[in-house]
Amino acid sequence: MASLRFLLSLVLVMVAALVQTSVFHSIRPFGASPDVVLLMVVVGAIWLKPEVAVLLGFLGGLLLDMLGSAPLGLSGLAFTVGAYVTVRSRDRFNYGLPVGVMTVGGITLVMLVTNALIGTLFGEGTLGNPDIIRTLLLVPMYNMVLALGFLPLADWLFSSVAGPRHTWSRSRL
Amino acid sequence: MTLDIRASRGGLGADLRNTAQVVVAPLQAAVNAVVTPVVSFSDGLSNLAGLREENQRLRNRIESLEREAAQVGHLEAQVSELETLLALRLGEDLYQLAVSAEVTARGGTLDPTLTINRGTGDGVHPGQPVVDGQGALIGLVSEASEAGANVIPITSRRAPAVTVRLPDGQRGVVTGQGAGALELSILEASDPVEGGELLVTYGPYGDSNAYPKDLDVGIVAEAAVPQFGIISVRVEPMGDLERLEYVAVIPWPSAPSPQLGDGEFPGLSEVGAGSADRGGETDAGT
Repeated sequence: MASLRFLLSLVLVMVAALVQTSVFHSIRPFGASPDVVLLMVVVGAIWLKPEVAVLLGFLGGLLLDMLGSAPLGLSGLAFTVGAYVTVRSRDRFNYGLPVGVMTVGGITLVMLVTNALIGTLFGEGTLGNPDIIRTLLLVPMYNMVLALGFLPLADWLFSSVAGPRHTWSRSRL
Repeated sequence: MTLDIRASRGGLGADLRNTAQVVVAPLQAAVNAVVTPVVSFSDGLSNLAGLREENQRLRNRIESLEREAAQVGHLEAQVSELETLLALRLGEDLYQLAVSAEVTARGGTLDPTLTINRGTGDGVHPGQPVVDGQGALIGLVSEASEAGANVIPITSRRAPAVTVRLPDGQRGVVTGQGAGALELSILEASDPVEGGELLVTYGPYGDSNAYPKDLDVGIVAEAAVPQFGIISVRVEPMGDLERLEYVAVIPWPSAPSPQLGDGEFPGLSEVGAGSADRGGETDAGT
């Protein structure tokens, strides 16, 4: 079951990477787009063992790095942090959909700030971007809107494909 | 990440990136084929709804331009000259050889990279400038695989600096400041800079060979006077990166420089150095 969950998470992350780089290059309301790869990492990390969840985050970020031209591992590291924060805070997903959605927003913000900080340290100058505040505000909001639909959908998908959740995250969203 | 940076974007990292992009490019093209018409349709609808607002914005823009025309007496002559230059430029062999490409993808949330559907198989190589449909410089090819290439926008801090010429002949350097922003720096400035002045690439002759001559780069956003001989002012880029769909890659140089390592970013080393090799390319290209 664990491997099936990981496989399902990996497929979701890969599809999300494809959607992120192709669909959301033309759909950018107010100059920003949701980070669907991170959303899928969060969704997968809720269901996976902590070590596997962190690995999923790293692979998702690395895939995005490979499809762009940022230093390899920049997003990988940021998404790993995002997956780690998800693992540490996944109890909150048991308190119902509103709390889960807000948690997704918080995790997205943490990941973006991490990405910007590391990018700045490695010469990308991300924190100096004039649009960074807008990005830091809009992307978590977009992810929260998407999470409204994706969290229950993922709950249903993982339950039906890979069985019930572990005891540490038993409540349904 | 450290390995990737120390390898100057070459080696295993570049191979992995190329492989991933070769695999994903057809999928991205397929997704785009489905999504683009839907987006265009919804754009059309939203444009209808916002027609009045757009009309007002254009009216304001016309008023602003009329004020600028009144302030700058030589504007008409300059426009005429620029139009002539544009017509001449489009006739040059270099521009006839330009490779048109579609923007098929974009990097992650904080990665401004654009991906185009033309690669080394079409004569696209790292270091070549990329312009939009209006001929404005929007970026530089950073990596190229057989069927696709990555473009670093000039607004990115990762893009090499662009040496530009002002209408009064002063020379400055434009650097990317992140999403959608540029900054003009003039060292040893003698005259003030006026808002609305058009900046064009300085090359290929003189100290900068990194770009062809007279590509539109941006417009000075506000007036600035020299302070201790230095001018630093914001510049609005000419190209609209948010709504970019089609671009053209200028074969400049027509092939990668042999002395550069695999995956090395030629533009970065050429801005300051002004390689003599490009001089030969210049003669051949134009």
